[in-house]
Amino acid sequence: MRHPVLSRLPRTLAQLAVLLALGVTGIARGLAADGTLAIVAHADVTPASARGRNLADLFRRKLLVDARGNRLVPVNLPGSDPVRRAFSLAVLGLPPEEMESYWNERYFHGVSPPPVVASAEAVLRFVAATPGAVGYVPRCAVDARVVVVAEIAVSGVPDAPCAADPVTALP
Amino acid sequence: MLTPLRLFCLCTLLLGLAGGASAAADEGSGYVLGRGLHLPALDLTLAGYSSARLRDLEGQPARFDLHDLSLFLIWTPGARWTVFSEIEAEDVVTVDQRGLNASDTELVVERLYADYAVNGRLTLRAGRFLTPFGRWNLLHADPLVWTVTRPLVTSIAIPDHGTGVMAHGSLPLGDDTIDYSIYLDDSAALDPVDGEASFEEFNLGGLSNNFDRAAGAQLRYRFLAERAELALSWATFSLDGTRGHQHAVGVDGIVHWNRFEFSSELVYRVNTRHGVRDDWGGFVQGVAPLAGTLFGVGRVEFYSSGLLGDDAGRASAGFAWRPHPALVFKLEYHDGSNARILPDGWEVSCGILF
Repeated sequence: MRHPVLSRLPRTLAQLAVLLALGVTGIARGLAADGTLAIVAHADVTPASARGRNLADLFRRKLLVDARGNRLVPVNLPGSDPVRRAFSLAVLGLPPEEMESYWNERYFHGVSPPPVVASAEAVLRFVAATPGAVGYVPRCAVDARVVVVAEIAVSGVPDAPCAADPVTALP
Repeated sequence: MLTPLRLFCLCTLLLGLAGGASAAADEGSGYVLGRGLHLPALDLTLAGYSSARLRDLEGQPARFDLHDLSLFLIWTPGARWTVFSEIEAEDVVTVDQRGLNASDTELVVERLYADYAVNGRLTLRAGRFLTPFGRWNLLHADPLVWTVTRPLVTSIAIPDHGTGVMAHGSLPLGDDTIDYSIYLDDSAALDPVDGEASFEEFNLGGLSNNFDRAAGAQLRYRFLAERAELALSWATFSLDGTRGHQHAVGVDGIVHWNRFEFSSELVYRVNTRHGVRDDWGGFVQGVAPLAGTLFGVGRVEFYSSGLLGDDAGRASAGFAWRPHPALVFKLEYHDGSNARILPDGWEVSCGILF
């Protein structure tokens, strides 16, 4: 004769295990939220100017011209934007609010911080229309108006489903 | 008569303006408090800063003055070119025992130079510039520093301006950076201020704040995501109206961590004039967060001057409140060993980048 509770225990345990796994995965997604940012540039920008160490110097306004002598114009998202924060931590090693004293000091020497635009779409418009411009957007936001010169992995910006459109990238 | 209370109210009004004007720039044009007015169509940026100060020092009448009113004009006529000028109005308004005085205003060309970016790592500069010696001299504006007063060593060891040519830039070193500057000065022939620069904060009669001719260099190592700096400065120079030659070497450093800051500068200067001993001095300064945007500041400094034949030491302690990144209010008290050069007393200031 089957026990009324014990006979259902294996099935119950299996259901609990599935629920636990789903819960952990969901929590992990909320905590990790790793993503990829695309570094986008105007077609006239030398790609090396916006890669590696040069990218940080560009956004600190220490690298003002590229190898061809074109003026470089970095553009930022607002300081409160999680994409901006993730970029700043990954590339500059500091959150935006900790850069204020640095920009005050640069301002005293006539160097202004990068202009700020409101959204990823605004970044794409600015970069497409401004010679020498370099910006950053979630990888899925890129379209054919800009050139992708690099990609960087960041925390705090989850990847969204990306369109399947090809993206032009310089070698 | 402008009392400390009225000074505070004036600066609170500035704070209100700061709160209303703090919106981010839209695609690079327009005005942002603390970041200037950008006019992309003209390749022009108008910027500047101002400060007001109230002093009540031992042996002197209390005095209020609109201490600095500086206008920056930054013009970028080409991809590689930048022209920078700083015109300063000094002592625009003073109030002391004689009453209100607005007739002592002087317009001074603080800086005027052209930069040419040879490449991303080398820029050539020609004109009148701040002497790259130490850290304070290159960032001495009231809204940028934590104290009302400037350490004596940063004013007296070497003139604060040069006129000539400079090569400067930043070089990557792994995740860190080396900033470099090398310059040649011929102020005797080229200085647009023509030797009229004086020590703004100190009564140092008999000392010159002007190069005759000079050469120097600075290397600044930036590390820990630029939270820390360590620099070495060197200069060899002759002073306007002073016999002999001087050689100076300086070390400075700063570290920021979790809103704390620790900084120091040390200088040794060899005076070759017969019978004159060498100069040496320095300061150590600490800043600590107290609550929100209120900070406590403390500094100890000392300077021994062969040319003056005198020594001076001072301890300063006070507060700095930064309600907005472009605005700072300060209060400090000094207690020193030489009332002639570094008198004791209270000082209050309000500084704004606009």
